[in-house]
Amino acid sequence: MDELATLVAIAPPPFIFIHDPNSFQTSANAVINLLDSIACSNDNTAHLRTVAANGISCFTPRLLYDRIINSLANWTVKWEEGCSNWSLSSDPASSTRRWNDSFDGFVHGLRALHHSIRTSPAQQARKKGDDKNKRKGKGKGKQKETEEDRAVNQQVRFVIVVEHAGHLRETMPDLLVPLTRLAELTQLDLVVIFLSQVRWEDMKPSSGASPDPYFIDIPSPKKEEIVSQLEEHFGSIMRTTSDFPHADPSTLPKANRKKNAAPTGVSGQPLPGPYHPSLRQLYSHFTSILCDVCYPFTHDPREIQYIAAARWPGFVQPVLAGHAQRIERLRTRLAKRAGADHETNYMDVDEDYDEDEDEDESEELRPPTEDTRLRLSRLFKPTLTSALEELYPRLANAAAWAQLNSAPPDPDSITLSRPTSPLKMGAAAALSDTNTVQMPVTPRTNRVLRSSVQNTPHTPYTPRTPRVTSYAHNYSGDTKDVTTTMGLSILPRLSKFILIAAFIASTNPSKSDIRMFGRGLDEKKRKRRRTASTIGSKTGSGPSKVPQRLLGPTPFPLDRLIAILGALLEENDISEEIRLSTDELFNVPGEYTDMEISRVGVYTTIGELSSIWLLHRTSPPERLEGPPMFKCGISYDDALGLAKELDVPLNDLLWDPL
Amino acid sequence: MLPAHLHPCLALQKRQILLALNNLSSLELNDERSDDPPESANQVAYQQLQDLITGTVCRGEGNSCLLIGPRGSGKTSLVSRCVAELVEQPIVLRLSGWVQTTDRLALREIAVQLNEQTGNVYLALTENGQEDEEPNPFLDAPPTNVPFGQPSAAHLPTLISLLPTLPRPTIVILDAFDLFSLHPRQSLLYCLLDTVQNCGAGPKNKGVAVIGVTTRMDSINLLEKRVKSRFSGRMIRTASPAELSDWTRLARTILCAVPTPPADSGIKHHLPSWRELWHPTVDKFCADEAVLAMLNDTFCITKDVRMLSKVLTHLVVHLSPQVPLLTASQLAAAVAKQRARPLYPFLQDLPYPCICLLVAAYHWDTAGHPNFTFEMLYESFRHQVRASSSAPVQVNGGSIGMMRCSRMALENLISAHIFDAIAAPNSSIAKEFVKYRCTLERDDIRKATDKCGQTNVKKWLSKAQ
Repeated sequence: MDELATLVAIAPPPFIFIHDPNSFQTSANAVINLLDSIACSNDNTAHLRTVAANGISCFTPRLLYDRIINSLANWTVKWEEGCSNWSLSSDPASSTRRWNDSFDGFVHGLRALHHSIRTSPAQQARKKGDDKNKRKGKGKGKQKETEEDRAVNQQVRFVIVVEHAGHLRETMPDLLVPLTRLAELTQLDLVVIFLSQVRWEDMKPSSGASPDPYFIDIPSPKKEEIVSQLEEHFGSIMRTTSDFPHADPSTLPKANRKKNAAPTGVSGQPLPGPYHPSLRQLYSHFTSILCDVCYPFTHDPREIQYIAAARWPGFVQPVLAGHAQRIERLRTRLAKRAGADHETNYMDVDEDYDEDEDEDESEELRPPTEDTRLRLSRLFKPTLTSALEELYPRLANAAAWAQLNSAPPDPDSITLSRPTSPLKMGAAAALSDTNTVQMPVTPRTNRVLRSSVQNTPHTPYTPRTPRVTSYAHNYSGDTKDVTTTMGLSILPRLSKFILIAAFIASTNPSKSDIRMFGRGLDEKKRKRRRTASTIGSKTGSGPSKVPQRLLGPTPFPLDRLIAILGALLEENDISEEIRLSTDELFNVPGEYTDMEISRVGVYTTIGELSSIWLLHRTSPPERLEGPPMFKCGISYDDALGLAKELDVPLNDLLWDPL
Repeated sequence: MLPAHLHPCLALQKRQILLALNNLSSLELNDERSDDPPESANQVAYQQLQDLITGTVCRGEGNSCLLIGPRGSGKTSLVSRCVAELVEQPIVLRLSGWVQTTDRLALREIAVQLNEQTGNVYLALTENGQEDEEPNPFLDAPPTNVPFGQPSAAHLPTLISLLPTLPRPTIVILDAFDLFSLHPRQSLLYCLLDTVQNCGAGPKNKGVAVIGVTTRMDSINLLEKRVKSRFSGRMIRTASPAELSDWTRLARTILCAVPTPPADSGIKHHLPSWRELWHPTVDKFCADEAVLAMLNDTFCITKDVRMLSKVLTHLVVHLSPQVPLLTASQLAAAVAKQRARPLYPFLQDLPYPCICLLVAAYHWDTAGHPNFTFEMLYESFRHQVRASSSAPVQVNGGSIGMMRCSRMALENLISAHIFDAIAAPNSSIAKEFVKYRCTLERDDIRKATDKCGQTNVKKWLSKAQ
């Protein structure tokens, strides 16, 4: 980062490539902020104009050109003016020219812009300053003006940052070479900075057409760095929430917001939220624990921050609840006292009320003690893991997850904040808050504290296991799609049989069908053949076979599906009495099933299943010759679940079982 | 380490060196002129090119030549230097094969540049011409994707033949010349070279020079016969410095660039003492055996001066008041970063699930399946967890049994191009069954697991042997 700062400020090479595979978004923001700050400082060899174009949002060359030129010129596109782009306003002839029609136009646009910035008279600079002033609504107009004036005498240097540069390779491969040679082509003082998650080796055009960049690698962040970053974030949230309580509701998950908005303290102020300043120390401990858990899995600070934001309100909930109870008790006590002082007028009561509050400062949320912290972290450690498992692959969103896993205002949870004796607690508070040192332990407070100690049993608080959602219950690996598992259980019985048959047809080689489902032969022969074949395959040379289950489903014709379905139904579905009762009607064994599987219903069900994408039709529907081909769309675990439900011994029917 | 009063001096020195690094070409020139060993290739080339250009500008000749040399040998800077040193400024048309991918684009660019440099409007002419043309329904179907305002190819000869009649001599610089010869029928080149050849040294006509700049040695063979016969056949070669001593000399001059202090500051007083400190270190640095060996390595790989400049930039940028002096180890770091880049520098920083997937891929590779699906990897991971009957990762006492973020890990690897999908994405193949191939070498994976420090993973990997 320092490297980049020095380079850009003094004399940058024309093309810089910044590679960051792990925490891309964070470092991209850092680079852009850094460039902005350099542009504002006076210690440069040239006046800097920076622009950050995004390779994803600028998906056509025109968008890219417009974005770069407009923001280099500090030009905002206004709807009222017909969304016109920046142009040389002084010259009507050239104002009709467009800079975005081709790369030539873009190069000319850059040159024209450069020229106009360099030679622009002070009035133009002033106008720009005014523009900025209007737009931002800040009183920095004067300063900008002077800056612009100064810029006129200096060299102008453009800094063009392209984020997600790897995407350029897909969207506009022709542009890559000219962009990397932009300085050479425009003959201006210009830096192109590519920021990418992809290595340069993967995106560089063939035959060495573009010059090799100056490389800057950003190492992946260390654990300590992430922790400190999270703590900084806490500070920023703290500031916003303390300025405007609950003005920024997005930072607080819903459950918590409700809880905090409703009850108020003694003085009518809202209770402290989870981002209260005195919880800061606890938060830093929390983040270090969280990073211990998460760091092996992801190095992206944003992901960890996301998890932290979801977990933290629940984590401090016991502390806050304890605090709320304390306030509640305080209030009732005050009410009692007010009742006792019945003779005095209400004004006096109010004064007394305020006085009392100032006196023992119980309104303040005290930072929790060491012991509380340890207990909290022990309690919540398992939920951190589950948070990682669900939030990192985004199986749930943070707000919903926090709502599910927030510890409810449990009466037991108060024990968390009351592990210490009143004296110790007072000492701890005195240590952390110098104001409370003067506070004498009045008999009143002593009494209150002692009584509360007495009536709360020291039962160990058992952590609530995270509530299991309906989909999380079935969820055994992350490969499974949530919707399919939800949908499978409500399917009719026949569809389930069809799905199992499809799964078998997709995983077993077609040659094995006769052995698996063949009837009329005795069982022994079937078994023998199968074992012999497996032994043979093992002794044979060549790489070992991969189970088809792992390689993915193979397509099969409809006929095979129907045949397997018939075999399945015959063996598993048909009940004994049907077999007996239909014996007169159907003399040949299996004829009943034969009739069943040739019903129209079966075919419509197959069509239905393929329309909800549980079967994939691989042959185009307009092809008439040959049977339609299908592929199974459910995973092994799904099929296993279905088989268990229908009492089908699936593992016996698979060619290479687990 | 560095006394505080010298800090600004260091900053100044850094700035000066970086500035010097940015315009290498001028520096090179001074260096070579001062020593004057047997004339270098660039020196000769400069002489020839200058003769040619003066011929065009002063005597109105039509000239054409090719400037051939490897990348970074100073072709472009040579041309711009020659043009800049002329007394009378000619019209310079710069075209690049990378940008002007078709003759139409090139033509329009010529018109625009002429417009800029002479003030006459040539684009209007071509645009009018196009308007006349457009209503004609009997023409061949016009290319549909041509942006507005592109002149038609029919105007090419008209515009090009205009060049000698311009008030000033014209120099056309064709960067990436070989790409122009790939245009259909090479009509632009034909017109240009034809004009050059027919450019009589009349009183009315001014000279035209066409300079092709390219790295391709066989560029001239790419030309069609009719084009080649109009080309003068003059080829000027440039080359990078031929000997290591040139490089070291260059490095030395750059590092000893003399800082010019701002007039009003008090730094001036400290500068002599700074110089006393700095120059010996540079001398020491340049004489260091290790440094010379590293420079020699780099030089043997590429003679490109830009590489030297990148390495030196990295070296200088990392100087700080704590580490103010040049050392060989710093140079080694710079070389590793800029020249001999490891293919996957971030491998050992990969999160744990990614490494697990890599090891699983390694196992499948050993089993004779270089292509794998996600399910296969996941299966072998599960198997390993069951076999080792211990939690795969131990973090501060707490264990994480099954990894469930592995799908994300896979996506990470795919986005880093470590796993490449074999077939194009297909809607009929479920995500977990898409086949991938690992682009890493087996050795890379082994190194990564060694560095990541998880003994369980290491054991698992060693089972594959």
